[in-house]
Amino acid sequence: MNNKKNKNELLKIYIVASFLLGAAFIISISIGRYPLSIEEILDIIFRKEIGTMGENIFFTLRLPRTIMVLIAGLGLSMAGSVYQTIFKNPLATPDLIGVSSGANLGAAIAISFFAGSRFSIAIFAFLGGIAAVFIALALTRISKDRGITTFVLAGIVIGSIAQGMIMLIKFFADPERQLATIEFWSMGSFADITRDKVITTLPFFIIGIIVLILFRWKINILSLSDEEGKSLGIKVDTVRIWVVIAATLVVASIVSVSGLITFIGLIAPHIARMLVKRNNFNTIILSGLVGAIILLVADTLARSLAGSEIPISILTTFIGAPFLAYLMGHLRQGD
Amino acid sequence: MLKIENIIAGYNSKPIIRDISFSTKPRELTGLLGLNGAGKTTLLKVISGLLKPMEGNCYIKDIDIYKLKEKKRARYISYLPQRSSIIYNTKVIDVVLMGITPYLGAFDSPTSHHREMAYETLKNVSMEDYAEENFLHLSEGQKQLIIIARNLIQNSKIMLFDEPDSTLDYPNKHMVLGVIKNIVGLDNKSGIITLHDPNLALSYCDNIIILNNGKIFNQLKVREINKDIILKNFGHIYGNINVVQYDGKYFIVR
Repeated sequence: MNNKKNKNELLKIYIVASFLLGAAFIISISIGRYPLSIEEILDIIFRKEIGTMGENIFFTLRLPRTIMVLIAGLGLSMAGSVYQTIFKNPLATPDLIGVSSGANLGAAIAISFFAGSRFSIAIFAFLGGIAAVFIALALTRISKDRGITTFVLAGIVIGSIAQGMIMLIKFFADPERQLATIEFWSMGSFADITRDKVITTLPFFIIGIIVLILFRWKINILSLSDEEGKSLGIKVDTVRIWVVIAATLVVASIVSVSGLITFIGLIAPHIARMLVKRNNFNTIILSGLVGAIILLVADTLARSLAGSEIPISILTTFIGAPFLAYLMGHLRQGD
Repeated sequence: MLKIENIIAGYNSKPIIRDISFSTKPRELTGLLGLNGAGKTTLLKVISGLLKPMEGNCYIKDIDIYKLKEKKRARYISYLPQRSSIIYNTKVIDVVLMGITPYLGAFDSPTSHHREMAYETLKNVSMEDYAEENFLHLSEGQKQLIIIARNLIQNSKIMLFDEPDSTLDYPNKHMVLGVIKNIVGLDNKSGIITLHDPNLALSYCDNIIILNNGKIFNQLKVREINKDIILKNFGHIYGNINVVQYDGKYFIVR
């Protein structure tokens, strides 16, 4: 009986979250410098208006951008939740193992040495993020102890080296154009999202998420100590590496087109965990829904608050932090 | 049931335990006693398969446990840590369900049938009323009972317990050890437990193995024990002790 009541409550939370996500998506898709009413959008989708300005904006800019924000919110928050679970650390973020720093370095290299076309920035950022994690994993492998601490240390080493190189690049960068571009990249934005970018991001994102879903139960077990995990029959070292690679693929594919988006991967998992008071793969999915809602709201504000676009990380921080503070005041973690 | 032969094991090629041989029988609880550094935990890790020995063998009914993959081995051996490492809010029933992991396919998760099993298993430790509670809100003693239930659903013949009483208060120590003794008697299990308190070992164990400086000092059958045996064996590691008899049992005092 108790079980049923709990299940209903859980279902209610998921339904409310999905509803909010749908609402945020519709609001986000209609607001912008060229506002589209819901009727107009329906007309465009059902091909009543062909070749209009509205149709053009909707399909080439507005829809890809909103879908990308949705993907980014889902992916970064689910990855954050996975990292927090498998590293047994509620403060773990997708940057723990060096992916964000690596992507940032890749973008900085593309901007400074390869003229910084949007395409080259995305490619270099993606490769940089993946490379950082693989070097960190290699460092872990040559170490005798392949426990969590080694992982975290390797991530710190790689992240620090990447940060140092970024500083070096910034120091020699042309302050007018390159330095500004590097700085703006590290604050994130969805302003340049096109249909092509979404289409190139999707396969990596989907593969990463599928692997995480396949490992859904084992991710749960990885939240225990390695000894407990092994005694439950899990090859913890191997599973952890696969899960890290999958989560990295998700994060790298997103930040390579959006730039760094801070805070969302930290805060959404906490909000989800406070809402359902448990931690398993369902909570990881709820983290994704919560993160997508926050990011959709943040991106809508980013393009409508001021005359020019505001970097997304400024908004994720200002929306996310007070919300977390509010939840801290009303629900204690253990309740 | 469990047969251990000439084990030498340690870390970084420095042996901590040497020449360890013993065997256990079904329905019996074997206590490993010794001072800190005597090698109790190392030996338990070797038996659980977490630490590969440099030399020696470990068989369960003629199966070499070091030739088994993690998943298969977990079906033969379960392990109760001093305290569980769960740090996130988790329902009691979900903690018990983790014990079904060795029986799941690589990408499977537990079914509603497994959930039913977990609920039934909670009855064995009389914790079924707590199934939907948050594990982190339970007392340390209750937490150990839940992990014991998780070990039970793992359905392994060999059950290892690493100082399960170390974080418990006095009544909970006796409650948890009582449950462990009952569980081991159930269904042909064979249990091995490391303990610090010799009186707990004398009250709850069937056999006692005394470790000293990484070697087995002596193996005792509690049923055949008497005052002289206790004085001679326990005196060797615990120093100047005395033995009193109460209610047909022996107790060590100092």
